[in-house]
Amino acid sequence: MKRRHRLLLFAFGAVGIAFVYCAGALNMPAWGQYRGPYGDAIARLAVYQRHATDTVNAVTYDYRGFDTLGEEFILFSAVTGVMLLLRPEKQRAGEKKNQEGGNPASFRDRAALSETVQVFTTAIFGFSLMFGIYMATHGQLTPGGGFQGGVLLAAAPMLLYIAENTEAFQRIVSHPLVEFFEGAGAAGYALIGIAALTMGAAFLTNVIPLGMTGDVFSSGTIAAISACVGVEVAAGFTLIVYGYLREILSRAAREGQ
Amino acid sequence: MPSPALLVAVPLIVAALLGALRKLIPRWVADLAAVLTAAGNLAIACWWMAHALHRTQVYWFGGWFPRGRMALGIGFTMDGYGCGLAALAALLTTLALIFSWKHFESAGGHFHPLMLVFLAAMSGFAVSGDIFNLFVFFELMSTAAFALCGLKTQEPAPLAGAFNFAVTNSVAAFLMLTGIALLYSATGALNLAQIGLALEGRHDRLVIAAFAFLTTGFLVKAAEFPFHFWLPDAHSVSPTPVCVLFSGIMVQLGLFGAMRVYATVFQGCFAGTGVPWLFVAIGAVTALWGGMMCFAEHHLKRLLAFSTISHTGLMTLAFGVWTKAALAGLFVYLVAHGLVKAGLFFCAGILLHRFETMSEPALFGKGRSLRWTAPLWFLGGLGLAAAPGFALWAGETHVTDGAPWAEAIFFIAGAMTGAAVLRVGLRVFAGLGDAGPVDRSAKVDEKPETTDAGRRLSPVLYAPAVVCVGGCMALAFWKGTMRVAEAAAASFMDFRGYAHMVYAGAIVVQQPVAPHDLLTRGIISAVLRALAAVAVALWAVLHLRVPRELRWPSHLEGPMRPVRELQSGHPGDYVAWLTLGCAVVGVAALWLGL
Repeated sequence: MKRRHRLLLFAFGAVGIAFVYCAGALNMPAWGQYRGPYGDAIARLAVYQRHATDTVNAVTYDYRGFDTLGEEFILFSAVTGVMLLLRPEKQRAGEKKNQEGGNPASFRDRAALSETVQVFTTAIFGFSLMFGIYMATHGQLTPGGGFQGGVLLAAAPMLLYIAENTEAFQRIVSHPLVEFFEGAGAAGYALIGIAALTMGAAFLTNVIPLGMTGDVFSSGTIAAISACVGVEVAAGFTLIVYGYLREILSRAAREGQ
Repeated sequence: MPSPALLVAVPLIVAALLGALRKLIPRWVADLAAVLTAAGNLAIACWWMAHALHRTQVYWFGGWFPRGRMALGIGFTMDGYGCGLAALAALLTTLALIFSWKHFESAGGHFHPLMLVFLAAMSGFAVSGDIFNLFVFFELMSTAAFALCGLKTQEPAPLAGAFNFAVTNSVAAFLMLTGIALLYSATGALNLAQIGLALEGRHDRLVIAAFAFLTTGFLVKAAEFPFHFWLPDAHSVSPTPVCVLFSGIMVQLGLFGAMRVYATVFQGCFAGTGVPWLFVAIGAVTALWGGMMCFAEHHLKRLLAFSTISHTGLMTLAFGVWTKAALAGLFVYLVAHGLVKAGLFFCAGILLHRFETMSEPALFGKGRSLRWTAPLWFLGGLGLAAAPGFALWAGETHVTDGAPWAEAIFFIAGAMTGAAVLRVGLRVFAGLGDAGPVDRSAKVDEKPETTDAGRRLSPVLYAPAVVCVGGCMALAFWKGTMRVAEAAAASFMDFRGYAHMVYAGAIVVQQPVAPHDLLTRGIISAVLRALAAVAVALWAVLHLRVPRELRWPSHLEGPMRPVRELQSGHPGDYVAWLTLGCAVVGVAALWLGL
């Protein structure tokens, strides 16, 4: 199909979809006419039933925790997919020998890096780690949680890369334990659900004591699941970075030959 | 009593552990763990199906029982239809994993985790009673499928096929999400029963727009015309075990999603309107289009993919008929088609393993040495034509009961797809006629997917195909098939009973269904259809000396340039068609439903 025809076809379709959408949206309840009793109910119930002051996390990790299990595994399979698509050339061809590519440092434009950046990124490496851990463990109290904390944790090694500490960066991201933690974090979520089954409750029932509202160790499984998700997300994003880096290196090594 | 949560949780846990330890555990452990997990899912799904046929079972995650009419958490509603599909998904996954036992390239240990995640998503999708949960499993299914589709990364084609698949299905997911948001704005609910009760049969523009977006989203996964373009591209590049799952169950689950949402949310809204005819029209066009394209193909996996499109179109047509008998027939047809199609893909996988090509001309006459594959392939071809003795025939008879126009469409689509498969069989296994025309798709070079390609065939390659084809025939002869299907269809259509079970868990007394004996009446058309399929296949292969104008099978096999160019492989084209199709569905629904 020619580009012009494609655009024409799409334009007709887009106008039609816009028409249907507007027809529907104009029928929506008027502004301010909130019809969802669910939000009101959860806002009242969450602190009382689950000792969680952040109701969003109470919904994602408890009331609708089964959805989040699915979401977590969407990330798991996406990471597995990236690793699969970017697996080293040799491994793809079915050969045993695994040839390491070049050095990531050779891809950095050395001249572009100022000393300020180098010092500053190294300095906030520790803060980034700490903030990530704080986020992942305080999801039940304040906005945040495992997903957000995990991404922050995964950002820490990148700071090392920016700071040109490439050796430490590569040691972290290529560590075999990263892959283990990715799977273990994902499995941990489902295993917490199974734990409830062994006690005769429904899957993902909050069976851990709820503790004091406002305490770090409160709200039962919400905190535990949040921590598991944090581990999974941090390891997953690190794996993705590693996969892309390995691909770039091997491509550069091929071009260099 | 096994918890239904295990259907999802166990495959996910095993997948995560296999992924975490993929460098440490030997291949046979991964194979064994995956096969046992899938077989366990099959057992659990069958167990729940046996119970669900008596009454729909409801399971609330986290113990969040609804408060009044408000569902706080997520519920599974296990009815006969959903559990049956979960069982089919588990059976096909088990067989696909057995097929890939030891020989199949495992892509550095990533293959097994992805297959198990895929299984978990399909199982959850089949029995979920929550619209957002359906969406989550739709997405999980897609993510695993995209990665599995691009498994053979040493070639550029798989990446292109997986990319087209990912782009079109992501657009579908956006459409679905829009539909869910519109419904939520009107009802404040995500539980299917709660939404259905809150709408109380209103069918204003908001409901119709939500219906159009949700249905389009599901129909993209179901590969209905004009949303089907991604499917042949994805199938031609996917490894055999993945093709089995795509064609045997994933596409049909897309249709099932549309059916489930229709039965619970929209059934009351559109009762007495012409909206179901929309499905009939889409299904009929898809069935005929798929049948035509199927006959024109010469790449075996693409050919089978187009046949899947055609048969899923027939199922969509059956859904649009929306009677108890039609839905019962649809259930049998879906299961039987899944088995036959899986059997044919396994046979194609054996050919690929042995001869390292999927092109019909290149395989010409080579299959003569395969004594076991040939009969399975021919039986599969007859099965696709819904010949007597295959369960597709029983299903078809119930769908077309009293609707000669539907019978005509089933006849043409069944005969065309059956004839295409038989034609391949005659050329490859019998070496009749000549090698047939060489077209672009037949020239696609296919790399072997097994580590010891070309060598002897082990029983693990045959056994799954035998089970599939044999199972489809056994279903036709088992007396209980139609009875089970009719019970499943009756509870599937009964929204009042469904909502009652969700809220009260009370027993719903179902009207006993009068046993049908349609098979004796339908046998004539079934025999005729099988004969027509054989005749067309022979006609195409032997190049009978008839006037040029009468040699239409050869013409259909020929270049067909303008039609084939629609299947351009450009994701932009596919999305443009998708957009136009969604708009047509929306406008038609507004016209029919208001």
